[in-house]
Amino acid sequence: MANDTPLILQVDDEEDILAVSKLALEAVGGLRIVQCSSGAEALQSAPRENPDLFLVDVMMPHMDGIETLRRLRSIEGFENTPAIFMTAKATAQDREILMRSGAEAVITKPFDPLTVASDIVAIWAASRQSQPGEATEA
Amino acid sequence: MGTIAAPLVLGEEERLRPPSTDILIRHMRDYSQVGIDLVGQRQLIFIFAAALAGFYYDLRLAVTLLVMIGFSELFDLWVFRKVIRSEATDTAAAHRHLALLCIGTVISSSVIVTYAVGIAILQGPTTHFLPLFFLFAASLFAAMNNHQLLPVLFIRLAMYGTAFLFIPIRDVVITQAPIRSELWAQLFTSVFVLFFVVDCSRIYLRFYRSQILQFQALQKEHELSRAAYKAKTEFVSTMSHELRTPLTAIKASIELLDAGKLGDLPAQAKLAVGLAQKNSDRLLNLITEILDLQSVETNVMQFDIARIDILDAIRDAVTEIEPYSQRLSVDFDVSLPSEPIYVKADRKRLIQVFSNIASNASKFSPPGSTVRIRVDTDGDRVAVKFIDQGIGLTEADHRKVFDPFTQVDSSDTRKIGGAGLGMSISKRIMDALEGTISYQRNSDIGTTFFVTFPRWDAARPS
Repeated sequence: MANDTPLILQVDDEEDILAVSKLALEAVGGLRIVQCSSGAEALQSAPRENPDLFLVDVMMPHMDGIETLRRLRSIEGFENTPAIFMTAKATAQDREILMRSGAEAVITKPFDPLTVASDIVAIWAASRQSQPGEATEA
Repeated sequence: MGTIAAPLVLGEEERLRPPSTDILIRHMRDYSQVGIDLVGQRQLIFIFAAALAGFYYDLRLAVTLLVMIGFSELFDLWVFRKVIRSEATDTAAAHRHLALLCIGTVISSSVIVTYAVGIAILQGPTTHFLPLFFLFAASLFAAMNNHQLLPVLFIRLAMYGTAFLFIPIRDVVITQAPIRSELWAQLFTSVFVLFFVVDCSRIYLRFYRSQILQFQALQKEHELSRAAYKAKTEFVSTMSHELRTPLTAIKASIELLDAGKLGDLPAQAKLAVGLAQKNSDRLLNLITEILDLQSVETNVMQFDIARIDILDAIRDAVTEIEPYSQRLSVDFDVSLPSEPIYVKADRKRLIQVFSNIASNASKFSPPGSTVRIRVDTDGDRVAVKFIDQGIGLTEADHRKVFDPFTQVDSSDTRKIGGAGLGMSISKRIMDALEGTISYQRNSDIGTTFFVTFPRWDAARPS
């Protein structure tokens, strides 16, 4: 298993966003990605797939992004998994609220499909540096 | 409670309908507050009345009544305080308070009636100047100060009215006076005055009720407009989010295609993809602008204020607009002072304003012309000037320039592009940053836009 790129768990209720993200991250960016269309699905999927990074959409019905991340992080082994929020809400206040909810970064929609893969890898690498000695694979 | 513009004429139903609990509580509060406010005035009246009665008629009666009114006042004050301090809003509590207030009213009215009737009896059948006038004064006092609570007013007027009539009737009955006697004249006068006092009270009551109704109507209107405003703000915010989501899928797909990441495209496909790319960018900018306009209009736009070198901001803005102006074959001639000039502003928004003016200047300039940018300092203000050679704008165009969505020449919209929001956002940003934005037609050709700021030293808070 390649250890220099993260296995991404993406959560988004919009099918087309998942499809276009898959294109940008997998086909073009060469990253490995597991996708879920709800917070509940993500909570089931995470222990099975063991991702290295969470990519979470904020506006979702039933369980929003912030709640989803909170619950993911409460699963054993995922307390320190880096997370990135994706959101269409673009104001500075919204960003602030999201950053305070425990994410490493916030990506606004629309995102740049040509750079998003390398951006995510950079964020993941930076977070790894601040947590040395952490086991990345079970 | 403020001045009354014009009294609402209440219909019979409205006057006789019992008030709802909230209104009742409000009435009771008002009444109790007035009661507390006038306590000094009342004591003076009682002492004066007792002094007169004691000196001219009977000292024992006067002292007894003074003591009784003392107790009555203490009871009333206790009830007033209770009503004002109470936070209860249920009907049962309100009715309990009302009962207490009525009991207090009966007690104090009884003492006053005893006073008047007592003195009248001591006087014997005659003209009863003192007691009748005191009763009349007490009734007027009640009309003026008790109109907030109908039950209380009713009790007082009923008791005073009865005493007011009892005194002359008793005289007539005791003396069996013939109709031509003055004692009968006194009786008829009492009846007439009583009608007058009741009418007075009715009018005070009506005024008071209409004031309350007007106030409530205003409050309701205020609530409605606040709700509408909130709904509008939320609508724009939600729509902006809703529009960005499909746009994300569109733009990402188009950008991947355009960059050749999904395979080679034949020439015409490339053209089509380029068009789609350009226009989805336009759409995104429009959404962002609308959100900007909304947030700056409702004062929620957040500014990151710092000490900014205005010259730096100008250079960055020009760099941003240059590709656009090159496509229109318009050049920039930027001549700036060598020393930095500082202002207090939000760097990102400042660049946004400069870019907007520079891009407008390019847009409305003929191809091959030059847009000049200069900076002037005048005492504690700095002015940035954008001088173009396009259509000269006049004073009359002011509204069109700065209002959202309008362009000076709307027939040009399709050729020149843009939604016309930029200037109105820029103006509002400048207002928020305490600067000004204005323009002037040039004497030869074109327009000069001025953006002025107080300099950092002048703007620095003490």
